[in-house]
Amino acid sequence: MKVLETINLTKKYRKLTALDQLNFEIEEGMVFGLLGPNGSGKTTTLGMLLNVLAPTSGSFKWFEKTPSAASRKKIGAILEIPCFLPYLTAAQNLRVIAKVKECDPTNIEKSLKTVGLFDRKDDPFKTFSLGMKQRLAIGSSLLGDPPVLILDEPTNGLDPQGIVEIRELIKKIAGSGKTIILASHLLDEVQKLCSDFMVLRKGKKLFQGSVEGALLNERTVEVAAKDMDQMQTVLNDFKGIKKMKRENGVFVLTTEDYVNSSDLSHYLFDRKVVVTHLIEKEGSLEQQFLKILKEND
Amino acid sequence: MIRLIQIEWFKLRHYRPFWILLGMFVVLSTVVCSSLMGLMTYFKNQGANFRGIADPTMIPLYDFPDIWQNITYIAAILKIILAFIVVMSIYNEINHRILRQNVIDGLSKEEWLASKLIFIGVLAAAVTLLLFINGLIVGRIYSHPDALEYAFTNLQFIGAYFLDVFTYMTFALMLALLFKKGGLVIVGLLMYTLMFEPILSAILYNIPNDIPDFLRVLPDFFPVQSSRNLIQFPFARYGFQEVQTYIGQRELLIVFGWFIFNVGTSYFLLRRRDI
Repeated sequence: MKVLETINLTKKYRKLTALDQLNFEIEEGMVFGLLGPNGSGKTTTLGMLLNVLAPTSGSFKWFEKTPSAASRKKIGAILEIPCFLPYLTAAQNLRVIAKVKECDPTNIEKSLKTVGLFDRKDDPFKTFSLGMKQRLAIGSSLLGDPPVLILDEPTNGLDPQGIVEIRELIKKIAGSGKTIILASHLLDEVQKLCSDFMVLRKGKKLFQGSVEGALLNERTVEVAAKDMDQMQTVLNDFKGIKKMKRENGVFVLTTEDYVNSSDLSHYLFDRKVVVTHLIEKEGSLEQQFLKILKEND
Repeated sequence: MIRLIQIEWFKLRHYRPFWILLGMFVVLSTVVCSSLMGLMTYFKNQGANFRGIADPTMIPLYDFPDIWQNITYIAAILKIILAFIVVMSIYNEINHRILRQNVIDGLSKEEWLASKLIFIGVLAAAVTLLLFINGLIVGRIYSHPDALEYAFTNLQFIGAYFLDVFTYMTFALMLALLFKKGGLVIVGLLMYTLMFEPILSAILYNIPNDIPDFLRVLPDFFPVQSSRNLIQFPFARYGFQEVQTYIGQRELLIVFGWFIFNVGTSYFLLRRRDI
C-alpha cells in the first residue's frame, strides 16, 4: 500500500519558493530518509504533510485518502523541537496527547518505558535535558501505536551518547515494521537507518532511490602489494575493474557489482602477487550525496 | 465534547497563573458585590451627604430586585481579569507550540477552537453563578424584608452579565490569536478597555451639537461600550431619576454581532494561517 503520495506539492513565502512541485511516494514499511542541507525544504514538506502549513498549490494523500484529522491520528510525528507544556510532568503531557489522539491511556506507560523515561514520568518537562525531551517526543509519537512515524532531525543538538541512544531507539522501532519518515541533514544517520532516501535542495527534489543501491555504486576495494608495479600490470588484465587509482601507497579499485574481494584475492594469488593489504570498503552516502549535488550544479 | 473539555482541563489543571487569576477574580468579585454597604457606612462616618440623603446606608442598594442591576453593573469591570486568563491560556499554547503539536497529533483546528470556546463558556457560566449566589446572600442579609419576594425578579441582568463576559472573553481570544504576543495583548486590552475606549466614548457621547449623528451613536458599536450598554447605569435611581431596567433589543443585537465577529475572525485566523 502507498502510505503517502504527494502531487506537485508547492509552498511559496512571498517571493521565496520553499518547495517546488514535489512529487514522491512512500510505500508501507519503508524507512525513508529526507536528506538535504538546512533550509532545503524538509521541515516545510513535513509541515504541509501534517496540516500545520497550508500548501500554496498541489496536494497529498495519506493512506491513499484525502488527509484529515483522523488520518493524522495514525501518524506519530515530531516537528523540529519537542513541544510540551513545561509545567506538566512527562506523564501528564502524554495524557493530553493520548486524549488528542483518542488512544487508550494505558499506552502512556508503555511509551514511557520504550523511551526509557518511566522513572522520570512524574517530573515536570522543564526539568528534562535536551536528550530526555527528544526521547519524550519520540515516546509521544509512539502513543496509540501508529503505523507511520515522522521524525524531523531527531538527533539535533544531542551529545554523542544521546545520538547513539536515539538511533538505537529508531532502529528498534523500524524493526517493528513501522513506516518511518526521517528528515535529517546528517548523511551517516540516513545511511545507518534508512532503506530509501530522497535528496532535496532549495525546495527541489534532486534524487530518490534506495540506500543500498546508492552505496553499491560507491563500493571500493583497496589493495597493496610488496611490488606495486607488478601488481599494476596484473590488475590491468583483471576483468571487472571500472576504475583504478593509486592513492597513499594503495590502489583504490571501483569494481563491477559481481566482483567480490575473494575473487580478487584468488586472482592475485594465482599470479604470485604477494598481497600486503586488501580491504573492501562500503561506499558512503556522503560520496553519493556530493556527487548528486555536483551533478545538479 | 467531553474529550475537548478533558483536553482543556488537563492543560489548565496544573497551570498556576490560571488559578492565581481565577482566585483573584473570585475574591474581587465577592468583595465588590458585598462591600457596597461597608462603603456606604464609610461615607456615613465621613459625614457625606448624597443629595439630601443624610444617611447613605439608608440607600437600598441591596434591595431585590434592584440589586441585580446594581451588582452586575459594578462587577462587569472585573471581566478584564477573565480576559487575561483567556489571553494567557492561548499565549501559553502558541508560545510552547501546543496548538501546532495538537493539530499534528490529530486535533482539527475546529476542535481546538471549540475546546477554547467551551472553556470560555464554562468560565462565563461559573462566574455568573458566583455573582448570582453572592447576590442572593447579600440580598438576603440587607434587603428590605418586604422585597424578598422579588429575589428572582429582573434576572435578565444576570443573563446580560453572562453574555457580557462571554463576549468579552471571545474578544480576548480573537486578539490573542491575531497578535500572538501575550504581554502585548494584555497591556493593549487593559489600556483599550479602561482608557482609550471610555474616553473616546465619553467624548463622542457628550460633544455639543456640531458633530454628525452617526459619530454620536458610534460608541454604541464599540466592542466594550456595546456590552456596557446592556446594563445601564443604575444608581441614578437613587437621585430620583428614571433608569432603564430592561435589556435593549438593539444593544443585544450589537453584542451578538460582536460575538459572531470574534468567533468568526478567530476561526478565519486559524484556518488561513500557518501555525
